[in-house]
Amino acid sequence: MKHILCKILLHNKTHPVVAASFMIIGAYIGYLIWYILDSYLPAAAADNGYVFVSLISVWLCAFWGIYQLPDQLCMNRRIKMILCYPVEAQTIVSVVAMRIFILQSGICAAFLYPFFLFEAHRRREAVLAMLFCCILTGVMDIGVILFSILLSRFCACDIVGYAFVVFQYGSFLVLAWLAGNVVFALWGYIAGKSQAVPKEQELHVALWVWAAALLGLTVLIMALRFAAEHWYVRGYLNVQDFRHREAGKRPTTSHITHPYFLLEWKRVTRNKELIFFSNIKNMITVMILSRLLFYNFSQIGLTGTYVEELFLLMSCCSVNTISSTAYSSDDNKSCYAFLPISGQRLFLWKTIQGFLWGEITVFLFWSILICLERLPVLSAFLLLLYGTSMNYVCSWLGVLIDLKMPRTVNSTNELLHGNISKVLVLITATILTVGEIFLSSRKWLPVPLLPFACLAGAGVAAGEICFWRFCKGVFYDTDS
Amino acid sequence: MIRRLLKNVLGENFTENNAKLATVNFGVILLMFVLSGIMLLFLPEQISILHMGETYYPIPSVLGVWLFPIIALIVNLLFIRQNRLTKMNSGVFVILLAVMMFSYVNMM
Repeated sequence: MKHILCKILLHNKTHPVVAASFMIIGAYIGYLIWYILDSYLPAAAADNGYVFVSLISVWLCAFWGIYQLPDQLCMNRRIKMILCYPVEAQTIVSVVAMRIFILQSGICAAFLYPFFLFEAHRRREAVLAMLFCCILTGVMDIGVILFSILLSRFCACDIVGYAFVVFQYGSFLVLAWLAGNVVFALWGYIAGKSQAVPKEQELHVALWVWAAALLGLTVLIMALRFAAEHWYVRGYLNVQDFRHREAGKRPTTSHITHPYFLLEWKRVTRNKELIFFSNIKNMITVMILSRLLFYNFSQIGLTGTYVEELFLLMSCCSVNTISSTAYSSDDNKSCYAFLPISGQRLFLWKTIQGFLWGEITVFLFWSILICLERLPVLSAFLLLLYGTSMNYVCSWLGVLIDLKMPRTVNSTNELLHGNISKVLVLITATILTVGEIFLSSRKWLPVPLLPFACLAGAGVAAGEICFWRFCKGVFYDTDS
Repeated sequence: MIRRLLKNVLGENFTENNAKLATVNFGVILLMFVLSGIMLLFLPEQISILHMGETYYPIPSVLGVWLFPIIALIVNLLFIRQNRLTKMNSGVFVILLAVMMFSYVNMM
């Protein structure tokens, strides 16, 4: 019965090829991490590397648990279909939780199996580490489920959706902060840990930690059984009733003053994952991409003052998914053909919307830059100007390329992940920036790089505005 | 113009998601694994997988040689998860295969 329930609730069957691919990837990444720890760390740190690996695996499992458990238990509409059958709430909770826990155990196993290969004489510690990771993951999963049930049961139905958004994204942020502080603090501890710690003391600490983990797990399981039996179903129905309501107010006739802005605002904000998931992904992309571009172009002689900063800001501007999926992610586009909508104004507002969201990322990275590098005021101002002008250039270009791209899309999540338009914008922005750096590094210009980059960015942005103003026919979407 | 050009090159089903493309991608990745296994016989004992400026990070060939196919496998799974299997993305896998072979030949 649990097998059938699992099929109904999760509605996906993993193909053996996909499952085998996941196993190969997990086995390879786990082994590679252990090899790097073993080869590139001092001997004392490498001996305690398993603590670091365990922490990373638990951290990944926690991310997965927070992302999946509230969604699958409280927002899964398929649960409503089986509530009319004699199925206990505890069974539903255990089926969903076990499915997610199995995947998390796979992550722990993938990260910790090389412990047996690299430290063959410490098999007991390897087994204990793997067990401890699984127990800790289980404790966190149960904590997340408990908190989700409490939220769904005790929050009013008009705010429960917002409570879940705050809970999930707040937890993500806390985990990200922990990764930056606790993991690296522990890394320092591991690297500096003396081998001369008395065995008795280690045993004493280990016993206490194990006792606390097992006790926590037992208490949480009992609490979960109680919560699932008494609160889960009513909480679930409460979440299903969620919609924005204003008590005591009768709906009034709405007067839309900015229809183009409203259309764009709704396109972006109706997708809750965009607020966090996509932005975090963009930030990671920016950090990796800018370093990659800087190292590769500095190797062919493109160096100079503020080159790294320019690449960083250029990367921020060019990964703007909101502009590069402006038309392909727009569910309303089929209505535009028979509505009195100006294609030119729609294009402008799509550009402005992409520009405003992109400016948040640009401003964030610019603030980090000026905090870390203590730049002169003029340079800081010019960097912001460069970021803003490039942001407009990239937003405009992203919207235009997306307008001109073929669109017979099955995908529903382009807004989150981007498309080929994003890659084309990135290539164009990189060519522009590299061209500016090249001209400046060869001393072919009378002005330094930063002012020249600002002027070039502003010039291209002005050219785009003129093109938009005088070439109306280009901006009509003939494919909607 | 861009739309017409891409439609001419790639056909109307530019972003169609189907099992055939997934099979093609898995086929290319399998070929990458096989070629990596063969190239293992000709590569030096250690190859560099990362460099930061002048600093290189070598790892044994027997471990590093699988990095390209694994990256391709991860990307393919992400494409499947996101319903983003296209002819252009399959083309990217073929380009990755060519880049992989080029880098191995350079290392020999």
